[in-house]
Amino acid sequence: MITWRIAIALCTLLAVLPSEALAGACCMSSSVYGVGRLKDWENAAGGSSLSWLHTTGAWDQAGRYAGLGATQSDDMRAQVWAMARFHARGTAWVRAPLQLGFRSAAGTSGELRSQALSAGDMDLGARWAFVEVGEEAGQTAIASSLGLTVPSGRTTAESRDPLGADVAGRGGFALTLSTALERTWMPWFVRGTVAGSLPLPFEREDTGVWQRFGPSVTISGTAGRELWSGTVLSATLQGTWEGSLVSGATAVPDSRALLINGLLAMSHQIGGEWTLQLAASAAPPVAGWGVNRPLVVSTVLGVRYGYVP
Amino acid sequence: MKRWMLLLTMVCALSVGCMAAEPETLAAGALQVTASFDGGDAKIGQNILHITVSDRDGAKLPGAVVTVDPQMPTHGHGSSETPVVKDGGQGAYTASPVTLQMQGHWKITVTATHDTETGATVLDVTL
Ligand SMILES: [Cu+2]
Repeated sequence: MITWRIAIALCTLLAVLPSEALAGACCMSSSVYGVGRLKDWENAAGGSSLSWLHTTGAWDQAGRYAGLGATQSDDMRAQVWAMARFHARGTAWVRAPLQLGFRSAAGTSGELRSQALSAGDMDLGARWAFVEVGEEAGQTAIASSLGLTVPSGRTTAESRDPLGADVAGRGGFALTLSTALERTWMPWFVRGTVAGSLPLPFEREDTGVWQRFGPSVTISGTAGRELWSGTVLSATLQGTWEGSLVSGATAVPDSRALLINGLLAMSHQIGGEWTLQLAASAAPPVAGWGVNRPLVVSTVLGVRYGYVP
Repeated sequence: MKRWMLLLTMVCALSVGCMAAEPETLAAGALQVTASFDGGDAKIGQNILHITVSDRDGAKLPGAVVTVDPQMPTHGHGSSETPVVKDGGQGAYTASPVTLQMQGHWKITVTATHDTETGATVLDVTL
């Protein structure tokens, strides 16, 4: 209920804000969240972010939500990323996370606490802009990306922590192909993204059995607006549908997953090439918004530097 | 001929596998295994599991080799710790720590072997 009220209030705020002193269409949405993309005049960009991830509960295989109760599960994730242009239309990026996990639970011998610092799964990829944002007025921008997730983080099978505080990876490589369409009506922009991910099989260290996570599709829609020069606010709704996990040669029953969540992001140019990024994501803790997934509420603070030759 | 033998072997292997995974299912000659969590319910984190092993006539059986394997089938992983099983005598065993490190559905398979006989039970736990 509160989530909806916040969403309505935010939409109203976006609609009534004055549209003064706006930047070009090309850069409005470039840095609003995550790695994003390069601005027209940039040759490279880099940044880091610090996220706080708080798990409130999980949805089971039937989509029923249950809170974590007396257990506490939090993660702090630091991330560095870099992006460089290799062609007028092509950029490549790399992203490496570092995770500090905090867990506590009421164990058999009283309160159990653990924390661990671990490297997470790395991402790298390339983006190709068929029509770049702001390239031609009134045209829809189209860009595709191909990404590879490298299983550099510790998996649950490799973890020795009684509460899994040191788990920072899923195991196995994954290929992701995504296409984004973006349209600008100053000071607004809307973006739709479809991404398909194919996790590759890997051998489980504990059992020696080969397994593969289900392929997934993520569809997201973003609406954003430049509030004033250099400050952009956006709201995203996204859903990820994941197929069954395959263990050995058989699909594991009830292993399909779903997660629908919302994300609010804000970026503010703090002078020159530097941009400050703020984001928060959550989902309502009710049945149907997830299947076989934890509900993680996250807040992100990031900084981005754009290099102009 | 060889194909038939292979098929027969596969059917046998499958049926043995199914028997091992069925909760509280006992075949003639199999051991009876029961298991329950200390305090009644399983919790996220470390747990203690109380296990009993009996023969086909219900007589308590000490000296069996008992293993406990917690798995999250829908997540594709097991437990972060390997439980140590202690024989308390008179067919009673204790496994600790039975570590269920996260919320969700766990399948805990308890297997007992004594001489040439085996038995198993599977606990389905949703945390
Ligand atoms: Cu799990």
